[in-house]
Amino acid sequence: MKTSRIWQMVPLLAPVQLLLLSVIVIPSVYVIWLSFHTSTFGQSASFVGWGNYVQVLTDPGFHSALWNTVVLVVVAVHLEMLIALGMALLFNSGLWFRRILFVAVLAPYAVSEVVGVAMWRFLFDPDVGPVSNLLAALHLPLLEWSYEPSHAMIMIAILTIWMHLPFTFVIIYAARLALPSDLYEAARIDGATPLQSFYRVTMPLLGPAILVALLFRYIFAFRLFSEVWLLTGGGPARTTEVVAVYLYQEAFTFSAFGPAAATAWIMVIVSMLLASGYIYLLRRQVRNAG
Amino acid sequence: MAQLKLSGVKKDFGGVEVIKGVELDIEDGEFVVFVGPSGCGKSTLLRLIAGLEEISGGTLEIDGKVSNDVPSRDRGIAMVFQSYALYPHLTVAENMGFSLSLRKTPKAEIDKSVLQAATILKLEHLLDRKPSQLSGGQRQRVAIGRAIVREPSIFLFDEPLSNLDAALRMETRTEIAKLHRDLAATMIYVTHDQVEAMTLADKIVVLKGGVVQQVGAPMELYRNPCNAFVAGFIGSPRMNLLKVDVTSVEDGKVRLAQPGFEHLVVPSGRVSGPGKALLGVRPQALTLNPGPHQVSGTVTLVERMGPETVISIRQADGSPLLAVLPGDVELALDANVSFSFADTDVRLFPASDLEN
Repeated sequence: MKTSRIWQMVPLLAPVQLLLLSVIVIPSVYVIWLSFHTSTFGQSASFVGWGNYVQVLTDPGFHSALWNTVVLVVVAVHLEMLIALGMALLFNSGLWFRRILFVAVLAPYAVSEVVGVAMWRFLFDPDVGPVSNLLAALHLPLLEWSYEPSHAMIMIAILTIWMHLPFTFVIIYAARLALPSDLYEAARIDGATPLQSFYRVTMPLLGPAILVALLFRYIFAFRLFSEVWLLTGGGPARTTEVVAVYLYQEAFTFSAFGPAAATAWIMVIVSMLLASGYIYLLRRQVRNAG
Repeated sequence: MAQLKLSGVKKDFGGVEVIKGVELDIEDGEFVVFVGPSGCGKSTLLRLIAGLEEISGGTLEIDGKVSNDVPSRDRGIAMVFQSYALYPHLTVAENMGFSLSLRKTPKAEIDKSVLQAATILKLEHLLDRKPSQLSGGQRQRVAIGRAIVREPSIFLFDEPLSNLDAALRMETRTEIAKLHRDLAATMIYVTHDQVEAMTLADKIVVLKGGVVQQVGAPMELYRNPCNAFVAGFIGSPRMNLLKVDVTSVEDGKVRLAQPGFEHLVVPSGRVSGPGKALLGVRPQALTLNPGPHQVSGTVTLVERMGPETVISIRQADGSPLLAVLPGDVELALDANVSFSFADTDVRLFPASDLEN
């Protein structure tokens, strides 16, 4: 293409380029710059090299936030996958009122996260929440999420599973619907019990879809923020803080922009590692299928 | 090896009866073909035998044992599907050995059985491939191989050749015939292609609307079709069915009113009195030589194949007629032609055969 033609196109492409530049590229570069400086309100930034990274990586607060994040990612994402798989198979086996139930299962995705969290806070309110009242009436242990850290973590896990289940479910269900029924008939004639059909036909064939859903969810869950921030705010006493909340606290509570910027880049790098793992596996699958 | 006996077998799907009481005996080692137009229930009948559908009424006996509620895997059957139904995540060898590995057969034994079946079907060089890396014909052979490895007493084939091209179809048909000869197993084969039925079967079962029309050896069905439907279905191109008026029935002989058929005397068959009837004449029975019984019309199409010529004509009443003449025959379009036929080459059917 001739250079003059490119210059003719530039004005037409410029708005999008400007938008990308202003909301993604410049802030990213600024955050990189910031992560190598100490900076707070009313002070000019001064260069500290890798200091912020060292500070964040050695901060016990960050360690606990990272630990909480990993625990939530591992527990919530896998639990969610099991539930989604079970539900997809249940839907596929011919359920009554399937259409209505399908809408019900997808509904959480249509609810704003803030509204969703407010709803769950009310349901599990220790004093007036209907679920808490029901648990009390049945003499079951209550979920003391507002002051018991482990209960709060359980509550966060339940909430995030509820919120993202539609995503995982739809991927698995669509993959299951795509499996031809005559494979199962062939397996039946070959002598497979329903359980053997599941392990030897369904699972291997759903493998790629499960992998895709899991990796997407790892990446989403690693950035977990609103569920925690809106439910516990990281409390009680920073015990339920996750990495994204840690970052928010550093930046906007403690006005320590340098360490916050370093945290942000650590998150980006971890997400990119997860994503590259995902792309590697995906490419391998495409190669195997071809 | 197995015998099958179907007594009053019925199947309904939500109140719609698709198999309406089938009586059928299949002998040990027999090659039986279910044939009929689409929707006649032939595949459903096969699936009832396979145990993939529940039988709604009647009994299915395998080797004298009522097997209505016996699960598929215990019926001693293997099935080859139209879509092949190969497991896409397994190699050819794993596909073929799947049934044995479910039974926890030792690996060495599985490998031996798989290799044996692969040798029969010339698949040895493909054992490590995935189904997606195979051609249609190869996939079909793998599906057959998977059935062989099970060493079933009954092979079930559900339109196994319909996804293959013409040349491959003929080749695979020959292979299946050879397989039947070598294994001497009972085979039940579903097809809508009467050529496959004629060439493969020991016994053909013609189905229409969930009802068995006729059961018999291929040539028996060709020579003595029991009704106009079977007559039209068996034989290619299909038998001409001329609308005629019966004037009298005497001593099992019928006289017809049509011009050209005044001297024709045919066995009455199932026609009992004067009225409308159908006169069946095979296209190959028509000749251009003059004779006492004639049909005539104008030529609408001439298909010159070389060894034979297929001529379509339109009769005076507008109904079509097909004639197959040996050798190459040149006829002009729109020419008037008359064909004659012998008394012994026609069959008479009641007009009610083609109603419903």
